[in-house]
Amino acid sequence: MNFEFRQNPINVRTALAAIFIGTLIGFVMVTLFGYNPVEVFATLLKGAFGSAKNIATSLRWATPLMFTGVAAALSFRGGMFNFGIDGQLYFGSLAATIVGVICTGVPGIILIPLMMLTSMVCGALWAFIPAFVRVKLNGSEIVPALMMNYVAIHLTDYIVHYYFLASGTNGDSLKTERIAEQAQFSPLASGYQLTGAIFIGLFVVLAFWWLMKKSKLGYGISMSGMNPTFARYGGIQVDRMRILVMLLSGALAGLGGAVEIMSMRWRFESGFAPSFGNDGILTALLGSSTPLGTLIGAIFMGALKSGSLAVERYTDVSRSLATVIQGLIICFVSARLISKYIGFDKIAENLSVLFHFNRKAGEKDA
Amino acid sequence: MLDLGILGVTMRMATPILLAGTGTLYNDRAGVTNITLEGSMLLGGFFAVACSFFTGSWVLAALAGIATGIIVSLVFYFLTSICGGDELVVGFSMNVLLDGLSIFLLKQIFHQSGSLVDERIVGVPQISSEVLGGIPIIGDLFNGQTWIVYFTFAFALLTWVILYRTPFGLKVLACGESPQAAATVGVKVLRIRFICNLIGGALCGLAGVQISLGFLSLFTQGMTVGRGFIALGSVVFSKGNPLRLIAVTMFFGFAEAMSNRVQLMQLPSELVLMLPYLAVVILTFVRFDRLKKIKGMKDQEAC
Repeated sequence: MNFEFRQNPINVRTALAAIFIGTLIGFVMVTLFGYNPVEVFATLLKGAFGSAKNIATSLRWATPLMFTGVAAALSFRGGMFNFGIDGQLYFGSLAATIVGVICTGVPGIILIPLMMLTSMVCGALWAFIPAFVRVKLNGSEIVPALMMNYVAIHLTDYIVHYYFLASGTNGDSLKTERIAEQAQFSPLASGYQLTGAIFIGLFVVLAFWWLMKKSKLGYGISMSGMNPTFARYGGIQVDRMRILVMLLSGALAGLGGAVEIMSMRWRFESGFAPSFGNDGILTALLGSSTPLGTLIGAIFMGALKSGSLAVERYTDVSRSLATVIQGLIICFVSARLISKYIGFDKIAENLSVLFHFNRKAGEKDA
Repeated sequence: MLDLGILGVTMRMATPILLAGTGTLYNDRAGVTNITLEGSMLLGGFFAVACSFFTGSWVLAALAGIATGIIVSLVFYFLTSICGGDELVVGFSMNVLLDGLSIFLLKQIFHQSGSLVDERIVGVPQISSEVLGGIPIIGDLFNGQTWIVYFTFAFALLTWVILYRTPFGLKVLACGESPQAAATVGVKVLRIRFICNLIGGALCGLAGVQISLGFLSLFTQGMTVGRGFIALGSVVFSKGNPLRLIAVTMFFGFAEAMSNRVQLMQLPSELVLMLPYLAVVILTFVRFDRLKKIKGMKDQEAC
């Protein structure tokens, strides 16, 4: 099976067309179930951008996606498909939480960097295994990375249940004690969900931009992603780049989890981040793995999430409408011929090849 | 703990993995990277339960599951081959999409969030006969299973014959090995891949039926819990050989059966639930080709 992955660049028009078609299909579905699509759409928009508070909530949901989005984008640029972001995030954030729970006497200025560092190291460790399989064992990184997600989810549950369970819960809800107070971020303004975490997120995006555009290492990473053979001839150690990219990606995923815990939850709960990893991958795919694209993608996905929560609150429509729309959008971003809306003759030609001729079959694979 | 009853559970647990794996094997050998197994199984399971709920017939439910799988594979084929999408990207986002869709439909049709349990849902009946049950080991393996289990193992064996002994199978192999060469001698590459895609989708849908109606007759959100990805892994490990696929999936089925069995003891359930996934990770580290090489070297030394 061919798991080699190279991301195709996406232009803005394709992305916008995909967003339009995806949202349209989502609301056709809503209409089919007898809801007023205009009302649902208005609720979605209002929930995402309706007031300063709602915008803050959108940015709150965009923050973790900046970390996981950059993590995914970085791995794509290096020619790896990091499917294991969820697992790295869980493992990293549990490690950070443990540090935060144990070191109550340490001042915040030391404790916060210490927690971040722990989460990054543990996230990178979790990402090392798939990278090792790819580089040293010549296998695919995708299957072990996926499986490591499930292993991480159950393993963190186990560690919380048997070693760090909060007092007063009898294992019915798996959560740790709160982290030390000096490590808890407080909201930027009272009543708003937004904390200083967003600045760390923006810094990560900025650092990603600097790495890819300004540094020698970034050049090596994108060369080994775009054309490994060429990179090898140019003297870049592709295998080392691949491992490095996965380690960095895992570290960012872990960091994202730790920041989420410090800023919003203040404790590790079982299943606290059900879809940050997947959403991060979708964000990177929507943003064509560029720093600016990933940032815009993260804000868009955050707004969609915040809007869908409002939709679930005020109407009877499930919040997983947002998941459906996200999935549709990325499908259409990738299936470029649909989104280009000039590709209908090409689509018709491909269909005719399938049912009548064999002329182009060989060429297509070439 | 290790009585023979575990053999039957192993078969039951291996069935969805083997079924989805066999379907993906066709895709794999024809050169299509289709990773939508997980979503396909999930939605197939959902529509099977929904159909069983409304009609009360498990035959129609199974057909609904298969039809769902076929529709999913048609959409996948349309987006990748016809509209030029990347197989990995489309496969990944379709998994996300189908997961969301099953939750969305559960909420909008049944007004349930989380799971659907109802007396009106009819499960796939289990076939048991005293004659079969009387035979040792074989009886433990095959007695009291749903017909999906028999079909799965028969079809997996049949797949070996189809792939290696029929013109169609050889065309499939040719499409995977060298599409240009196949096209040159007149094999309709895209059509072969299309057919393989349909087979894969149908089998994944049926695997979803076994998960939702073969064990407990209910639907829970995300109830496939990564079995689709385990199936994907077993196709990778088996290197596209149906017989090896049966062995690998039986191993994973055994890991799941063990984790069911061990749960009854006083072990931490979180660690036990981890077992099947850990088994897959560990298996990626076993290099079968290298084992063979070492064995070959030993043979040489013996000479």
